[in-house]
Amino acid sequence: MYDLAALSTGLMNLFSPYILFLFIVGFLIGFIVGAVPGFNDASLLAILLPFALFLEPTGALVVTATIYGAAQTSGAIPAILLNIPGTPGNSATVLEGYPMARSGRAGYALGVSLTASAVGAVIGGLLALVAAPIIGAFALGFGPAEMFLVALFGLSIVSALTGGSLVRGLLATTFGMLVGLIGVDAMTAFPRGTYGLYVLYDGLPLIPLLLGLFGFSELVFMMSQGTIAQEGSKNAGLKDVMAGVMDAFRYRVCLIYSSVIGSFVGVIPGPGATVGSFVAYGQARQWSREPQKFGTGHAEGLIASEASNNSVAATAIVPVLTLGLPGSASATIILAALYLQGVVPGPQLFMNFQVEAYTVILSLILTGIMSLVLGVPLTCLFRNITNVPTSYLVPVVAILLFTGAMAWRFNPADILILITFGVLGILMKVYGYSIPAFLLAVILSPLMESNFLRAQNIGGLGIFFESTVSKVFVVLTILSLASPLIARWRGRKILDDAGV
Amino acid sequence: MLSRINNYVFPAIVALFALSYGLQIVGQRYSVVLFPTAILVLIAILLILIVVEKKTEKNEISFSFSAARPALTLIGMSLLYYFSIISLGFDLSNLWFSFVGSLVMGIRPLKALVIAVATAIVLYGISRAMDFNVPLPFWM
Repeated sequence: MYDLAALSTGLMNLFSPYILFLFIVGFLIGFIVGAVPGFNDASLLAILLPFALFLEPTGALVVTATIYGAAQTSGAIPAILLNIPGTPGNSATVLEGYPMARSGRAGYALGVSLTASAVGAVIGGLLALVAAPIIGAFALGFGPAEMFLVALFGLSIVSALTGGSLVRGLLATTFGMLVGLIGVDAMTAFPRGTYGLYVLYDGLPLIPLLLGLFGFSELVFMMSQGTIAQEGSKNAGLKDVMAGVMDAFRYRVCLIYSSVIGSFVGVIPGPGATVGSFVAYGQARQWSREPQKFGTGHAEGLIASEASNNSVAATAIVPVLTLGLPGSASATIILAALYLQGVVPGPQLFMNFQVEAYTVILSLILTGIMSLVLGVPLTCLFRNITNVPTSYLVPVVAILLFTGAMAWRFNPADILILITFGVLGILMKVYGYSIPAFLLAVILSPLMESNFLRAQNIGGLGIFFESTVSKVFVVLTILSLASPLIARWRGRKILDDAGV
Repeated sequence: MLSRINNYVFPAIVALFALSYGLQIVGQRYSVVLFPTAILVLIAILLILIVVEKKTEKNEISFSFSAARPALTLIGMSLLYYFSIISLGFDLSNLWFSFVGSLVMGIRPLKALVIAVATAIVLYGISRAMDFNVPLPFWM
């Protein structure tokens, strides 16, 4: 199950001069841009993805994963200094980090968050190394029916957990599935949903589509925010940061259990870093000797949030690499990167691309270590990046967005596709429809269709209920779809019992 | 009334796309229509559920042109980029697009020019380093 040769090749790959150079570039980009408030990690990944794809597959995957990991770490900077989470995963960080900054301990809080992020990423990465081969070996026995059901489960969990409501999540998913089926049919070469446009015969190009959905819509919201510059960055010198870095190790128990909680949440496709950090934060409050200090700037709460969101980032890659199921918007974009590099998402992914998978996981562990080595000076140097006015940011991001759409295949039609999906992304955000669910459905629906037809040809509809794995995934799909209804029913029952 | 119409903007887009997609595959072979038909049926059910859900749900989203201004600006800018790529080619369009973009965001012309030149140089460097097959303008 554990292929040590593949693991050592992955390690050697990561430390080859070229990949190491790309890793450092990815880390710097992720760390610096992750610190810009109002610009989330998924949008950043989407905008930089077209440029990363000009690299060879391992380099592109390492850069993408490193940007993702580094943005999680530096997202704590605006959360602490400005009360604005850099990424959604840093939402719980503001609860303790901002009160600490307001009481003149900004540098200390930044130092604590760096240590917590580093420990979280390393523990999460190590657990991912243990879990991935186990799930990968289990997934090897999957046939077309199981592969269809795994994809269906992934879609059900993302649409149930990431949308405003279950119905809206499902509408976004089914719409995405239909959009994913645009192009020539694989069996008979009949053009479906192409409207006679030759540019759509190969299906919708993924790059302009995801740049529109994530980048364009994000840019519109950034433009509507006006200038971001606010207070902050006081008392954040090297000495203060180092004091926080060292002091965080005093809370080693909290560091470890928060990282483990985050790692478990990360392996489950769906909840993501935000849920993971709030679960760990709540647990830290329960287990703390000073729970009354939570909310006033307590280091334990900050550690729980940051250790957890970084370990989620490390283990969230496991369902992507082993089952092709992303648990968050960023993981969906990493899946898109794999797909665009010719790696077919699905249960066979890990076993067929073990070296690449190990390299990606190891790069996330190295990102954690670098959070301490490079993170301390970078935090002191770039803490003012949180004050960059939107008026300067928007033109630069816009040009990156449009150049990215063009760079993929130099077809001006991609700009029009970007605008179309940009408008769609804005509408989906405004009206509460899940964009990650839509994107995942676009990626998975062609694979689902081919597996569905293949399975049906082998054993008719009954094949979807034959094996134990199939039955388990059918039950899990039903449970994931029923979970929002059960949660709503329980909430109403509690209110009724309380007489509200 | 306007807010009620707003509730149906996205479902209406989905319904129109589903309808047009459905019409394109009518009468085709079993393997072509089977999977999309299942999705179309699901979409129809979900659209009905959304209409029913909206009758009881209060939605405060409303459309205003001032709120839509950033989106309209960005759409205008992307169309501008589209036409400038065709007429000016890749490198030149990046330069002047960045300049116009900075002006739109309220940056003073001299600073906008500095940003535009810097962006264009960086992008030119990236495009050469990554061996982009850069498209030339139509007149070259």
